[in-house]
Amino acid sequence: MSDFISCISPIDGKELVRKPIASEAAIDAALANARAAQKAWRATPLSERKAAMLRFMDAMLAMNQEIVPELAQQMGRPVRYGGEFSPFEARVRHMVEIAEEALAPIVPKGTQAGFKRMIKRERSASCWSSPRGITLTSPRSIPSFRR
Amino acid sequence: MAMDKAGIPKGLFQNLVLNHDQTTRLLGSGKIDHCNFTGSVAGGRAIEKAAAGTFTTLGLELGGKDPAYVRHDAKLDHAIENLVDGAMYNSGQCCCGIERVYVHESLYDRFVEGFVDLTKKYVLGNPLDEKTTLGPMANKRFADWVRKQNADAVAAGATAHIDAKLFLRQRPATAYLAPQVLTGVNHTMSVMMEESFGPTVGIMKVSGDEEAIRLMNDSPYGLTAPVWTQDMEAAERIGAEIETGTVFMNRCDYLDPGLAWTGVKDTGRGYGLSSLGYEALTQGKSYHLRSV
Repeated sequence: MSDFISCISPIDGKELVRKPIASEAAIDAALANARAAQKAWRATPLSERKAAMLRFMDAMLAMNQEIVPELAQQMGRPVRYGGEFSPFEARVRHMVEIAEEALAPIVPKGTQAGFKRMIKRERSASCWSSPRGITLTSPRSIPSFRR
Repeated sequence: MAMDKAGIPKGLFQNLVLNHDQTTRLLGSGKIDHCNFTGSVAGGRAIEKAAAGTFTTLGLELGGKDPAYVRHDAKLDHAIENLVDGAMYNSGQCCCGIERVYVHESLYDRFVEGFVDLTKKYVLGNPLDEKTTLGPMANKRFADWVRKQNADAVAAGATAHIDAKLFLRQRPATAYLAPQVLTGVNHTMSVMMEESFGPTVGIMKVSGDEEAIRLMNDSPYGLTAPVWTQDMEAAERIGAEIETGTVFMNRCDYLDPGLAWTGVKDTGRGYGLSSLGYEALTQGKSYHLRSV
């Protein structure tokens, strides 16, 4: 099995970039970092997490000029069609907008006096962090813009 | 980089380059709680196998062969314009790109003519050039797959409506592939059954809703299915019969964040976007508290 991943540009069939695969140590470190970061994120109020996602969105949109030609070079996407940032922005905004409601506890009907019952989205989070713990996501046909 | 700029804690979102062996071991370790995968059906099966026994939950988006149905009462020009774009955008490399079209016999001839005419207007070229409206495919091997599907279909009796030589930049054995429109196709052909993920589409004539539904469902996939009609009730009624994740009426190749992004059969499992997307990524915990 190869120890690097190569990106061949479809423009000319030549290798554009080569990335070494991660070492076992790097993988272990990533898992440890993820668990630690998740603890901190879990303690962060939803309003702050929403704001952070919108800042991330703005930072991505600001990189438009860099990313669009990279998409052309890496996968042949014509620059005249941009980088699919409109859909990206629409999805981030929507998921942030519905976060409060979608992640609210579910309170069943028929709760009696003296009882408090609910289903909580434990470790509720934005669409970019995994409250289930650690999420492994593969890149899509247009890397990182297809969420 | 954008995550850092946003002040999101390092570790929350990390990018690792892994090969298949490493991914398999990682998934089998049980250290991952959830895995989202977009790729081939074979890739999805490998992921599921690798995670077997760990109870890692999976979100899978594996493939599509999205069918369009142009009904007798469709707005023809609107259908043609949207379906050409749906089939050819990004050189056909969209999960929900249009891969096969079923047209009512009363509109068939005009539809094929209009579809072919519009497809011929694409400018195949270097994607860095602003004039290019159709780039090379992402890799030469993807273009070779589509070339094979087209050639096999023609060998089995299909008609190829586009002379590739019209597209000066196309070159055999490269990623530069001219678009193609095929008629005289049927479901014994790979181009109508196996995902092309490229700038080619097969068009078949149908006699009505029943035949269209049967043919749309004759597929191992089910991601999206657009119906072109002016009767919303009919669209909903037909939609209920189609084995798919999203039913469209008069549009295609589109993700609405307010709606669940999902698929059936070999297309995958789970949900993205919408409130159902949040359910897929959270763990419910029940609290039952009693004062005494």
